[in-house]
Amino acid sequence: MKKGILPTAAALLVCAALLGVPALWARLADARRLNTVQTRPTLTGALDEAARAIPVLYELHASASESLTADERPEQPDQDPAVLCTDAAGVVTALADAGVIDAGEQQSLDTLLAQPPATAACRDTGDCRRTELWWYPPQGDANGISLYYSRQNSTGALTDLTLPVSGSADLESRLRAWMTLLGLDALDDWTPLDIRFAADSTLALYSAKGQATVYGQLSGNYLTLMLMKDKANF
Amino acid sequence: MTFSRKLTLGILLLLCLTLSIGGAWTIDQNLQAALLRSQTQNTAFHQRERSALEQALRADGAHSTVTAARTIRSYAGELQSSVGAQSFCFSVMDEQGTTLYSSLPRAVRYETLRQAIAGGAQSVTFCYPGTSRYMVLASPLQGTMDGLWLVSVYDITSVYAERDRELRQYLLLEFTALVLAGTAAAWFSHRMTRPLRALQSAARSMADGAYDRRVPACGQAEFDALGQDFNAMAAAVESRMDALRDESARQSRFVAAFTHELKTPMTSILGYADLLRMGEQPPERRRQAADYIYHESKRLEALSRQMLQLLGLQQGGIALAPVAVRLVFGDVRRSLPEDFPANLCTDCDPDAVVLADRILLGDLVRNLVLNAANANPGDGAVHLGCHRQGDGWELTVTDTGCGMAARELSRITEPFYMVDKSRARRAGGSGLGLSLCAEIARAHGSALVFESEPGKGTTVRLPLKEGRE
Amino acid sequence: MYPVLVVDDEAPIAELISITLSQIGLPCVQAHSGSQAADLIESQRFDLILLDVMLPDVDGFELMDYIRPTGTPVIFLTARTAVDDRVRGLRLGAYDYIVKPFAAPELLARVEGVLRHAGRRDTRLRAWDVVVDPEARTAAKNGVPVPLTPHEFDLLLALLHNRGITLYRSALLELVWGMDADPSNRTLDIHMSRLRRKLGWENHIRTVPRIGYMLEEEKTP
Repeated sequence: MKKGILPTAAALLVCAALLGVPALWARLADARRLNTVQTRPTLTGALDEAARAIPVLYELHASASESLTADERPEQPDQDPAVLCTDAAGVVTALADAGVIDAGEQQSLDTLLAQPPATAACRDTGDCRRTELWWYPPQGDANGISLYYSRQNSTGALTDLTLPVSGSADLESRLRAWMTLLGLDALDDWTPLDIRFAADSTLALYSAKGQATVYGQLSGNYLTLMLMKDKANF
Repeated sequence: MTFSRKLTLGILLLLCLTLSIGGAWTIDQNLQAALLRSQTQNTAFHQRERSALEQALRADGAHSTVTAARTIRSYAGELQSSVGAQSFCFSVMDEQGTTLYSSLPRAVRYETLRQAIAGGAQSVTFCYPGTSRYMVLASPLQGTMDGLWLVSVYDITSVYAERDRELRQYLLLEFTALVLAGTAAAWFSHRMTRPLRALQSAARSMADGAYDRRVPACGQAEFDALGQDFNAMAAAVESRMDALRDESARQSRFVAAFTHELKTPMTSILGYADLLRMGEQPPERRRQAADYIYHESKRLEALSRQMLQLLGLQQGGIALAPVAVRLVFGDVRRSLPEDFPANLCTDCDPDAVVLADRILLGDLVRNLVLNAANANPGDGAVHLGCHRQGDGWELTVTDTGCGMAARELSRITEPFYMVDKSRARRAGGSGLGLSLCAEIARAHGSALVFESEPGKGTTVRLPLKEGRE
Repeated sequence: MYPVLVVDDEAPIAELISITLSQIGLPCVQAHSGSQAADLIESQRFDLILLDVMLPDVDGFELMDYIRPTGTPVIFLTARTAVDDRVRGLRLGAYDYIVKPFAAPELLARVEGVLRHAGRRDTRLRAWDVVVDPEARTAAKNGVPVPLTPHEFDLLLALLHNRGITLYRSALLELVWGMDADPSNRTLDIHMSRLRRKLGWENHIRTVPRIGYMLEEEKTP
């Protein structure tokens, strides 16, 4: 009997000690966890920090929540065509500097802008100022020539434009140049999107970090470049 | 330690280990999951607060610290009135460390906030003043003023409190489980080892001398096999013990009989010798004393001779060779004493040759013949024969004398056993004659067969092997 | 005054006992089997029965059932030395046990003891005018006690036990003085002459030259 008591007691002691293992484990894990810096979980649909640093993207998302529409705005910008053309010329210069359009295109656009447009409109919607200019069609052409662009008020970035172009530069290089201009190239995860019924040359890229889509189209001598929030469906 | 106890403790330890480690891991995993949920939730909250604050700052177009602070305070005020003071704890600091606003609990230290800002917009830090636990998230505020940071502090004490409650509950659960399992295991292993204990007690009582103990079947295959083997062993031991006891008893009887056979003539010899050396005895008495001494001495001599022969036969084997039976019969006839009371008739197959020792076989036959003669045959004849039987031969000695009862037949080859003592004594017998014959038969690889009917006669048969090559 | 029954299947031994006992005046009847003994017991009375345990037909112990009703004292004779047997015998009612082989003096002593104890016999020995009590170790001549030394008394007993037999010097010396006695010792002669003088038996104790001494038998009228 004596001989059996010691191992039995030892075994029972071990059991008792093991009972405290969960608590001990918890204490140790706590100490470790509470002292380490952890990474924040990524929220689906949230803007990446890097993207936030790009002003145009920040404004794009931030201004979406602003409640004031164009109609509620008390003031509208100056509608003077001359002012608008001057402004447009600046845009063209910026685009040419960025490499979106070449020198030849810039020349023809400047020539165009020298003529007074048939219609000129400028509106503020949300954080954007949209400018639209239209000239009568030249001889033998059914349609007129239009020039359209939208600018973020806070950053001055060109988020939307449609220009008549004549050059030979391809769409992708123009798109990339424009993205660089906007500072969108800081993000590295621009992936091409599938476009159904793509007419002519079309390209769309989406960035999850920026939660934004860029769209480019080159058709009928017009170049269209757009920056949109979230993932666009085509 | 007993096997059943080892079993119980083993099960208990294993269970304890599994439950403890499993429980520890599970509870920790639960906490981790809860913290992750909390982190995700709080990150979302933090983003919202950040956007809201950024919007408020933009709307007010704050450019300086003072104006920013004012904006933030009014924002906080709105928040408090709509969702309550406890839900939102945050602080706005600039990169130099100046606090523009803070609604944080006093326990949260300044260093913690600096650390959180240093950790960056992707980090989650913790602080644990006293028994509380807080999760701290810091992100830069983008907008009109640069270098502003929002630091949100979320109370996660309840998550840990929940975990602690789980720990306590688990401890209780584990303890109960161990007690129940321990009891069940102890009882079960005790029951399971009952057959072993039965075996143990049977083995003990066998060791104490109760060789008739057996183990009953208990219905479990392994134990039953063991039990059967034990019973077989016990039976073997018991029969061995019985055999040894019988052997021992037989030896005791032998020694007792031998002692008696020895002491009786000694008594006569000593007594008469003593008488003679005392004094001048009358001539008749002297003659009688000398006569008794001589005859009892002869008796002793025959006894010792036969004993030695018996012992010699028991110890060593003898060499057998082909022997013609009629020659043996001739030897016997010649060796009979002159006063042989009966007529010896022989009927021997002339071709009979057996594997035997001529002298020993002769002794055997002579002895049987003398016994037959002493049985007082009615027709005054002793018939000696040898005939074919199967592959070998059979010797027979037949008389028509007084015969023997069945219960005597079983004992006649016992050493010193005499059916009629007085008659045997008169003939100078010691009771070893038939024992010797039985030994001689055994040495020849055979055995004597006795058939007798009281009043009718006796026949003794001895089968022998064919001796021809 | 009844005879002694000696039961033993060995004739020499029965004869030996018979000779020894008759020396001290005890007549004996011999039986050589249990059945013979049973017949004799039924038909005669005995003062003492000497019984061999290992009889061929009847176990000596069984014979006790026959003997006990008669009240005759029994001494068992046996070659067995096992204690159990001795105890068994005594329990069955035997007075004593003698183990074979035995010496004559031992037999005589046992028999005398039993006879005295059972009150069967007057074990005193008589020769002419002398009465000897072996138990009390006294001798009286004509009723007058005769003082004898122990050795003289033993000599007297030896002579009385072997009346008519010339006892050898060496035998007498051995009986009285023990095994280590020197046979050329004159002590024997001295003691014998003293004995003669004290008892007045100068003519009854005969010296046989170069052989020994003898106590004459009384002539029966």
